[in-house]
Amino acid sequence: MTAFKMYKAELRLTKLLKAPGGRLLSEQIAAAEQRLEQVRDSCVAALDERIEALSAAAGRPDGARETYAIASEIYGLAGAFNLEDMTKAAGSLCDLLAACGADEAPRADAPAPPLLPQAIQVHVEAMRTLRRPELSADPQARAALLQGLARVVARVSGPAR
Amino acid sequence: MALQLDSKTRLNFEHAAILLVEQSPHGLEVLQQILTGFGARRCVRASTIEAAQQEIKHTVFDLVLIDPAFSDADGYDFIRWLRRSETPANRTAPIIVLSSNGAKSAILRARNAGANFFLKKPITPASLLERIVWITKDPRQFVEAAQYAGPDRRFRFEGPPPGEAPRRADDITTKLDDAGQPNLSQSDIDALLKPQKVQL
Repeated sequence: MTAFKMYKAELRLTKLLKAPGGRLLSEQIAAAEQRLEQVRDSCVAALDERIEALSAAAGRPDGARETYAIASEIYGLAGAFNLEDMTKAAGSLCDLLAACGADEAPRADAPAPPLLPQAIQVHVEAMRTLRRPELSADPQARAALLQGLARVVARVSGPAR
Repeated sequence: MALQLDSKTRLNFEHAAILLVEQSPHGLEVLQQILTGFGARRCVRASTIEAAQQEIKHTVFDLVLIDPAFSDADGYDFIRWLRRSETPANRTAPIIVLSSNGAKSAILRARNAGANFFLKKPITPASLLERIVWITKDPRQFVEAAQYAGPDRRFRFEGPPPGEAPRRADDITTKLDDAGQPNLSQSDIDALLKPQKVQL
């Protein structure tokens, strides 16, 4: 017979959070947003380096998982700092890579999933372009860029998010 | 249900030990800043699965936040490993998965690995705080079985695994959809893991 246990585990977190002291939820959220602003510049600046790392990983035959991890990182960073267009571009690439199985864990007995190098490169170029200062004042160009990505994703794997 | 920010509820993060597991140093920085803003003083960062496992062996954590996307490892394997930890306090520690992949298949992977909640990136302070509040109100029991260890997954009556006989009087035999569908909304994700309202 298979061993099976079901029990109520003690949740220390609840006791700790309810301890005297602490701050109101609204104060905590405001403080967190303020602290995020303090690291905005360094995190946003890191996007350029991560985009180049993404390009390099995508070019490696065994780089599927790493490509996905970096795309996911860019998505998370851009989203945390409200870079809406970069978030959409990176999210589109994450969807594309996940559809290829690149978000799955590497298995010794399975080959690396085949990627779509041209579609990935289009996303990399779009991200590079979005980082150009002149594009920040051109919402139409940014929108056109994202529409182009959506068409690429729709063509290879279905509608983008 | 969104957090009620006008609530008089106070949360004290000062003594909570929180393990942050993510490959990206900048992603870890974002998490650390958010939690420090909440008042946390005991955040430990791990940018590799090996580092996270070492931390688990030496420290009792009250909360684990993990992005499972690693270049050379599987964050879900870490969750499964943690759920079999020799330290009971860490074995049952609440785990929130933070992921850019909001597909149903990814959410089920997190749930079946033993995660408590799944939060789709990008993370905002409000969304993370909300999930932490949910954890404190989560009534689920902890399950240890041959194939699974983690919070009870049977809060929705999806029936027994395929090919197995019902084990409860109210089990129904429902065929689940295959994976590979579009991303779900955060509310759909929450409904898959544990639907509940926050009442502060």
